[in-house]
Amino acid sequence: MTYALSVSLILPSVVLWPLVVAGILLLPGLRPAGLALTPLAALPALALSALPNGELSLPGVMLGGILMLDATGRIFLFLVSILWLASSVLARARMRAASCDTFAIMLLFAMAGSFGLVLAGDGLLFFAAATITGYSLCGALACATDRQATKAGKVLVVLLVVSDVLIFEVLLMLGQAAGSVDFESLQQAFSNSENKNVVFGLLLAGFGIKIGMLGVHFWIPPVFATANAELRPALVALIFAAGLLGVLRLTPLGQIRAPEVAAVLHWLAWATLLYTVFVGMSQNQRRFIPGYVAIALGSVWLVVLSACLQQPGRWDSLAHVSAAVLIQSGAGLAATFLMDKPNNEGVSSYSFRSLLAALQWVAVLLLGISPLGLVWAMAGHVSSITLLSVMAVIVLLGVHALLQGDNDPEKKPGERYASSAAISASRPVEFSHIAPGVVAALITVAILAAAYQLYQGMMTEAARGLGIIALAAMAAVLNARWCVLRLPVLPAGDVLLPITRGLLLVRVGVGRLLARCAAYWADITQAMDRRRRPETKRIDIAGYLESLLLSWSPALSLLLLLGLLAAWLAAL
Amino acid sequence: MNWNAWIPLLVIASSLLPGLIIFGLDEERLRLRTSLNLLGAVSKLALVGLMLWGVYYEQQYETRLAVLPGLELVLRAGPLALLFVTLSSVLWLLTTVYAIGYLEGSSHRSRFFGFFSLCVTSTVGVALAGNLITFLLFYELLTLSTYPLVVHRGTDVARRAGQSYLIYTLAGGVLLLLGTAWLYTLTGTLEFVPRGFVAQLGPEYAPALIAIFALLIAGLGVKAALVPLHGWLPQAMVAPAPVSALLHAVAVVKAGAFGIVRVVYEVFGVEFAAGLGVMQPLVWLACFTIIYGSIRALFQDDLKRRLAYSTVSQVSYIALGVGIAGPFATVGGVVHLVHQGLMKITLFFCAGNLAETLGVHKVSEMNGAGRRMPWTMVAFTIAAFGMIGAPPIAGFISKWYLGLGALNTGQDWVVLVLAGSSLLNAAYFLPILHRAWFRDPPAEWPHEHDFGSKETAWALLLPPVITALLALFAGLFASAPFSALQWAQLIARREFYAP
Repeated sequence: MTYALSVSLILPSVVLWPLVVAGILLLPGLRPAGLALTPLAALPALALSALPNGELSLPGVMLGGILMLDATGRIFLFLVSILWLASSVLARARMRAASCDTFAIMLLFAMAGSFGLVLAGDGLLFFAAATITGYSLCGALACATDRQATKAGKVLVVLLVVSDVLIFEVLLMLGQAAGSVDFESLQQAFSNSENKNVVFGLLLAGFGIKIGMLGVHFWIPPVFATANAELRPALVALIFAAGLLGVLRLTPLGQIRAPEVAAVLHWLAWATLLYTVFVGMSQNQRRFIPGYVAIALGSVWLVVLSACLQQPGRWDSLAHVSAAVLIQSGAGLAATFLMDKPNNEGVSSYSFRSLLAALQWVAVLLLGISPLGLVWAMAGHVSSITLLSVMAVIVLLGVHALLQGDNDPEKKPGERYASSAAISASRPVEFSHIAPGVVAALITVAILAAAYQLYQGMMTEAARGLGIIALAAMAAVLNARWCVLRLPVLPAGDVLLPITRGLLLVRVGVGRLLARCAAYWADITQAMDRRRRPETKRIDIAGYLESLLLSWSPALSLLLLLGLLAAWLAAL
Repeated sequence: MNWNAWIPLLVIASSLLPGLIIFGLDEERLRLRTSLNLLGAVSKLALVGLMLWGVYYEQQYETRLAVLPGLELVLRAGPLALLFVTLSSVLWLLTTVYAIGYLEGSSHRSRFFGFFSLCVTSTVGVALAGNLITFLLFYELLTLSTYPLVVHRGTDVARRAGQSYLIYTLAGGVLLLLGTAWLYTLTGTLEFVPRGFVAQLGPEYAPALIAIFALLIAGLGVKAALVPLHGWLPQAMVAPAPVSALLHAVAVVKAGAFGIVRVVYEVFGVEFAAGLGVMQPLVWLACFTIIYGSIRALFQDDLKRRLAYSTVSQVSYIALGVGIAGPFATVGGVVHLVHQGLMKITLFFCAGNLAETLGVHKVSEMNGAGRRMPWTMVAFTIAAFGMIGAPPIAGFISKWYLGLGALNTGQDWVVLVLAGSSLLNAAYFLPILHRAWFRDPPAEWPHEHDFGSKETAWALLLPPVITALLALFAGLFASAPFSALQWAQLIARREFYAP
């Protein structure tokens, strides 16, 4: 009991320690000490993940906060602290520059927020930690001098705001029903909710943005492609801690059955796979590809959710396996995102380069086979086929990234891709280029299938399914690449980004149209045009009305009208 | 009268007397003026602290002075009154410190600080008013004492702004007076009672009561800047930064919003007002104002003007909470009185610092301001995130309770308004933060003052940092004893929804 008590007391110190380091960094005389401590800021969290469960009630914090370390939290804490350790070690060199204080502070705040996310025992503390983590990471991204990174950061900020608003609505709905904000009560309220589908919709859209769910995923490729290496593991931590953990904390898996939602999620997983195969394989720059690996990996969790919502009894077995999957996939994903680092650093030693190359292949393989445990746990279920397909897609994309070679510095990845003609000239479609990836995927699938048979004895059906999927994937990849390369222009990073730009153009177009139709169109268009065309003069209708309000006669007329209204009401 | 009966009077006198003395001081008597200002502010704070403790333990603080037969000047310190008085007193102290730094070396400081003290006296009077006539008296005094502050700079723009301010607020006062007089003829009393005093009237008076409600809300809505009665507020931002801070966070706007709370809960009573059908229009009006103010703020390049429209939007959260009714929404609305005050005063202090130190008045001029004035911009960042409603800052707590209240009363659509408002707030605050923190500063600032190695004068820097921390702590430690939230819950429990 004393042991548990001491664990409880350690919980806040884990969250506060990075903030203390940030404070030390800010003090001019102690800056070197702060720099030395930064790489160690995640160590207490890592140590805590080895300790037993604990809970600490903080009655004065927000609406009665709770910090806790439970089985789920421990796994996430281990993963998140490993990722942050990587980030802070990589960031040390950059932090030494005197001008990087803002970056260092943002990074340490994001770290504290990440640990807060994992240790939060109630919805509001979790939400607060998610906000701190998200916006601090955006701040760290914005510290980059690279214009493309700043642009990508803006995309992330907009999506984070939308995500937070949606999560706020979910928490509000559940909190109102539960009368409390601790996770247990919120889950109970979810189970008893009459609007489960609405809650699911908001929940998945809100957390889906952070996970990178298809449709709201389009921050992932540009952000990871343009972020500095030290931020990438931290961003992976954001995906897991602010996205996936949020879903797990709020969804009463094992207690709730929602077959319609399960079906939607399953189809969404397939759609994600197809999308990532098509778009991921069409990327001609290495650093954009891992983003699609992350999106594909997200479909693993969609499949798990789907299976549990269809058959709640499965959760116990899946939860047990998910721990290993989580850690392996998180670490593998972060390693995959760091694949271009050795090239950028200009490593000269041949043997070291070889070693790094081997490690990269291992990272891809580890990531690819990470859902294996779930496949075993879902033996005989259609979800296992989907998961095997996910694995195949991840390996395909990973190998594709490895075979892309170094990033081409002459291209401007954030702007637009080169025209199809240029791509064709520089990177013709060659079977030799794609074949190793396909072979690697097939080997992986074969290993999986063997393991599958070994443990479950269900080789026949599974192998048949796998064979079909592997062939389909191969055909799809070859054809997709051929098709995509002949498209006139591909957008920067993701095809959904120009859609948002398109919407903006539509808005401007509509605004202009209305401005022509009605001379007194709102000042929105004017403000938008101000910079582009300073000579544009449109009458600002809201401003015009307000200027009327400032003169004697309309103001008094208004008040007189109010008086008349009151008299009329009185006469009723 | 016992000692407790003197304390509300002393609270009024603690700013009134220094104010009157300051009027008579020469411009050169800097030290004496500063001492009087600070002495008044600190003594007021001490008295308010004493009353807070007493009211928590259910002691009575009430002063009654007969003015006319049947009409008394009543000052009473209940939980609701004390919430507003505490806010005013704390922020007055900080604003005084800020104003001393801000006006250093400028002319007419005695006039400024004299009216400044009168303004706070009136605000505290509004808060402590125990009946509608006392409220009206201080409400009008507030108008008259703030006008010289709005036109303090003496420019044409300032005079025009002052003129429109005076037109609006005096006309609003007339409506309020009409409503008050009419109400008195019907009820024969104007005493604020926890569940209202008009419920005694029969149903035949319903049309008249609806009309009175409209008159009172219109009169108060002018100061609370409810659309379309908000026109004066964006104009009044020409006033010096401490005045803007005071207008937007402590005095005028809040007096209007506080008056709405008083009228709904302690004149009509929330159940009776709901029965009259006047609450739903109030909710619609508040929601419209919230969205309208945010949209207008979105397209303002002038920083103070953007903040002014933000006030139009944010103050309506208080009216929204009142209109939704129910314990949660009431708590949300009442606590926002404090939370919005803390956040908005921080933003205006920071805007003042940027203007005073760098000559930056426009959002488009703020590139790199965070590197030049990091502490000011840290304070601005905290307050801006609070306005957006990001946890754990104070604004989130208000929005949470308003949302809960809306869901509890079956007005789910209000949650969408809150969400829309958050998105709009993010849209007009985040670009400012991005400019300030992540863009390169210009080679030369518009009008930079040299403060040596410091980013600005201490008197200008400390107040926004303190108020930003208060806004952060008000959200982070919302459930701590004596927090604004706990006090708002006490008000709802003890006064409005007592079993």
